[in-house]
Amino acid sequence: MKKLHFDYCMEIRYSTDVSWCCYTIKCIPKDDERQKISNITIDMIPETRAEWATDSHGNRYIYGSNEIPHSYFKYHIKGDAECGCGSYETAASQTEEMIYRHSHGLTLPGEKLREYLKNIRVSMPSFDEESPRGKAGIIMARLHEDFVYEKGSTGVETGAEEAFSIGKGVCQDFSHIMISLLNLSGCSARYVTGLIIGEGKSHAWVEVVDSGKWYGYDPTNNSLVCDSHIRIGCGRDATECQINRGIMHGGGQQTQEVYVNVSELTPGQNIVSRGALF
Amino acid sequence: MNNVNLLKHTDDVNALLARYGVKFGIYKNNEFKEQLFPFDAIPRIIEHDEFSFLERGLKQRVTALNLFLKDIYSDKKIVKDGVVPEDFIFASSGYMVECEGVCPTKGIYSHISGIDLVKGKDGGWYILEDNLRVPSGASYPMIARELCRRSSPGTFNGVRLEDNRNYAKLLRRTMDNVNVGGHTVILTPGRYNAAYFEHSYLAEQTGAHLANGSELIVENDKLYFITADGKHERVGAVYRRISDEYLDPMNFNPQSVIGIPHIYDVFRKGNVALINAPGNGVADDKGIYYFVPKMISYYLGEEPILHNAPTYLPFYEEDMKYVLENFDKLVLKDVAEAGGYGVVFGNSMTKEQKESFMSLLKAEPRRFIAQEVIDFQDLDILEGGEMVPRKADLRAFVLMADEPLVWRSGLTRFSRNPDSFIVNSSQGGGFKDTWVLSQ
Repeated sequence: MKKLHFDYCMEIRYSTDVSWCCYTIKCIPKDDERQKISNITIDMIPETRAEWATDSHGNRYIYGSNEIPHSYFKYHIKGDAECGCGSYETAASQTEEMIYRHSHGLTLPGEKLREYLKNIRVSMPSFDEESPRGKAGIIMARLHEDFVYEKGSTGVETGAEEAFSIGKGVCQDFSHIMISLLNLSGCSARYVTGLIIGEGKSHAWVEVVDSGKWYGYDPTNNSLVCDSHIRIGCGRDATECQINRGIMHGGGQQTQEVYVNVSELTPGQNIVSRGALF
Repeated sequence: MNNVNLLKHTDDVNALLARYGVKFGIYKNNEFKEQLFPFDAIPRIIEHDEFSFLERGLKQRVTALNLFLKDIYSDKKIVKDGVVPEDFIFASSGYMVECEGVCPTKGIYSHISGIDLVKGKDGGWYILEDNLRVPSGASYPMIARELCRRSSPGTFNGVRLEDNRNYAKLLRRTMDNVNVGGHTVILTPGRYNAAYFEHSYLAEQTGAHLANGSELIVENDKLYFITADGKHERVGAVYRRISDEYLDPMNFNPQSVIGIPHIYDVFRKGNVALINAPGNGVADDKGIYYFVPKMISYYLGEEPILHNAPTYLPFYEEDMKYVLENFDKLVLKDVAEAGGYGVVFGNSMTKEQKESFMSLLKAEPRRFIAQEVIDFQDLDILEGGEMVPRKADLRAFVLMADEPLVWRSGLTRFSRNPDSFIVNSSQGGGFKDTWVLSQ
């Protein structure tokens, strides 16, 4: 069990005024069986009216618009999270199992991923008899061998098949590929956005259903989701739980900066910082 | 029935239709062309009793389809009970995960349904397709009737005919039934849309505001219409003639410039009605069509009154076997395509085409359905002063207000090509008025 403090901050500077903008922010962790969230505050500059809502994946979000001209936009979400140890289990409904069994958007497989799964089956004839957790473990270990972590080789719109063909990518790509392979082998799996101890950016991992429960896997780190992970939201792929989305009129050139920090709060203990993992 | 008088006025009516801008826009080779939608003055006539039978069947079908949509986006009982396989829902391009757990006002999903039927040579009617997204076409027989009455009033003397000019009233009742408080708006993508004439005509006839995306704005969880003098007035219902993906760039396709940012967030909270509800594509997919008779039994405990054309799903092994063995007498349809595209007749393919199609079919069985070719009745049309028979279908309009309502008319479309079974207006067909006799 770890007690963590998190900060998620995004700033955009525009070269000319934005005359109107609208935004959706899905960066609000909520309580579940593994984590308890407290002391959440959301600051926005310029101050902007926000409506609260929950989407079809159960993600809480705020949305709104601003018609007062501005050349700077910032939001800062911070709070504390008490996260459970080890792998976690959360109940999955039969409906959820259906929804997340089918690849969609960025997780749709192509020939290369089908071929890859075929090879796993050939080299491991017992693969199909494995439980979903067994399959997830095998796929994660394989990806750790065959897919390389490297920033800049893929973008936010890169799908699983394309990333896999490139052979390298970031946490989003690891997760998409793993979901795609799990769906191909008949398992229900979903994409999770979150934060992890250290300073850097947001993180992403995978949840898979086994015997009616969701289990978390972090393929980027080849590990189970543990008490260093703060879960934010989920979707069938990254676009469905994108942390922020916006449209603006005007603004010219823009520069965007994201600052994320998660540190451990336990008194008397050193703050664990593993730096940017992504 | 004596139509001679009306036939003499074919040219007048077409000239009037042109003057009123009754046009159909199509994109061909990336170019937008507006063309007239050719009108044939010989009406299709349906006897009172025959239409009453259709009416009962159509109400039953659309009621079941609405229950299906409600079920799919909530409990999914029909899938859990094994009536519809999971693949046909969640792998369908019409399924929208964003609609999960969101219940539209009064639980109505398909307020306006366009159901395409044909009459076989055996005298029976068959359902060809359900259109539950943004079916168009009602305005054409509406205005054609009006213009025919104007150019040839004598034709209608003593004919006991259902007046089809009441469509606007039915539509208004349907929109008012779900309006949550405020204006009713018809949302159009603008004049470059194929059905722009219809959008403006229906707005005029129902008294709704015609608006494009830039005239509507979301504020404080509600939708507002921006009036000419800049006031923001609350909107309670939007009959949107924009497809789901372009409706809201913040929730769906981010590239859309014709939608309204956050309108879906407002809908999700029940603060505006969207007509039709988003997500309906999962129920009018050609693959789901096969299951509609089963839905009727499942939800209503009734026998289907109207029948589908005999359909096979290569997804099922025995159907695949039948399709491969009877390839030449079947028509194959790609479930993802619409508007008469993606339809091929088994007997029209060369040996090589057949082989490559069959291997595609085996590789992606979920993607296709196969149907027996229905030998449907020809209707006479006037061409160069002569009567010639052509294939025709009927798009019936079923509106779901406080109760299901069937419009006693419909759009009869015909193929101008004597060898073609495809009647879609986007493929260059024409239309007729549909006369339903009142007794």
